[in-house]
Amino acid sequence: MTADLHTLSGAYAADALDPVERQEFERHLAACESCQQEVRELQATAAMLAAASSEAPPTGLKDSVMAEIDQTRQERPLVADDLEARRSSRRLEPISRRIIGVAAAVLAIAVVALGATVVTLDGRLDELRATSEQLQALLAAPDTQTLALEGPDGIVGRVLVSRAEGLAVLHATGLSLLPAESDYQLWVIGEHEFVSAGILGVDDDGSVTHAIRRGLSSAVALGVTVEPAGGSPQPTSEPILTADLST
Amino acid sequence: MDSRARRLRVAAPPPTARDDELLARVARGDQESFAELYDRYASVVFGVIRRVLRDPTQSEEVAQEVLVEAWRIAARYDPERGSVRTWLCTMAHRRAVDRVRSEQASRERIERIAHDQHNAEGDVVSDAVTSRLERQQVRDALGTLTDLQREAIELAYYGGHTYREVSELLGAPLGTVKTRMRDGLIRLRDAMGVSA
Repeated sequence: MTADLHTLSGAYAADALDPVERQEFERHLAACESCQQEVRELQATAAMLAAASSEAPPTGLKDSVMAEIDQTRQERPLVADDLEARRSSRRLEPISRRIIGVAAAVLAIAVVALGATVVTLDGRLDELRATSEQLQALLAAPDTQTLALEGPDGIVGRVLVSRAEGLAVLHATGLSLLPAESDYQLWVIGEHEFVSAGILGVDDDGSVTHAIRRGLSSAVALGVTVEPAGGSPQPTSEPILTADLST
Repeated sequence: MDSRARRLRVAAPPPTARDDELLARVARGDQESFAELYDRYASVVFGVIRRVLRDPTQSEEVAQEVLVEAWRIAARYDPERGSVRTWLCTMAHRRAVDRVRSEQASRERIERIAHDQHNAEGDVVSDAVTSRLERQQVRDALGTLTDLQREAIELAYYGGHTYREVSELLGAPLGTVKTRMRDGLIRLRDAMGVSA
């Protein structure tokens, strides 16, 4: 899980991640203090590799650079105290520019994703229609409960469950993408047994929505484990996510 | 230099100013401090870019972009996150790598690498005169790595390859390359006594 992301710190410091992984790692980095410390040190180490390649630039470069900075407006510092005062005017400009930058990046990713997705779009539409119908059924059921998924920091999830309908829908975000040799598998946990409720199809953004239609009447909990690709008949590891259905 | 620039000028930085003090002045629009920063780090910035891109004309272009960017976002520098040198090197290296990747399909580069690698052999220490000691230190530290660690780091850092490409180039599994890059850098860190 996160251990998998931790090990990317070296490749990140050496700029050896592709743009999507770089973004994913930076999202992780924002929340992981031990990685921040490690990345600081490894980037400083990489800087030593850079220094070992130092080479005098062409003589004209300094003049060109000095001439260009003379024409280049500097970014304002981000000052927390000033934020309120600036919000009305000056701060708006860089923020809006940043939003446009983010929007452009999102759009670029969306365009790439679209190309890859178009083929499977029909299948996805069917899935979405099914999910939508299940959610409608849950919203209409009189006994539907919302339960939290318990798990590591960074994963946020809920389960909507109706025993009357014999239906539950799990939704979670923040799941790490697993290597090809592993899958997330969902289990309906009874008093005496684990019954598989299928492999979780995690989207590239780490989110998943998954319906459970069987075994809920006698279930006491739901659990998600990491299993070899394709899943296991019985869990081979401890659940990383659980939801208590016994209440 | 026009009159606007002259107005922005403040007292010249003392030649002994610490890097972070210098950059704080740069963030306030002090061009003379920027000139001093240039003198301290242009060789490192240009050197690492040239190492990755090889083409001198392109390297000069990218070095100019990076240095102007350092001027533009000087206020964003956060000393908590590393030294000025690390900040500049990180920007320079990333910009060089982005350029190399945007330019060539990775497939093409993989085919070219056998040739490049040959030329790069023993090239860690180039001819420039700055900081001979540091080069020696880096070379010694690289010598403490296993072959796989060293090759993975050199192909990624100096070659500008993603770890997936490195895995293909070395015929080693992805997970191994990822791990070797990390433990190799950690070993270098310890060998060179780097602290962030």
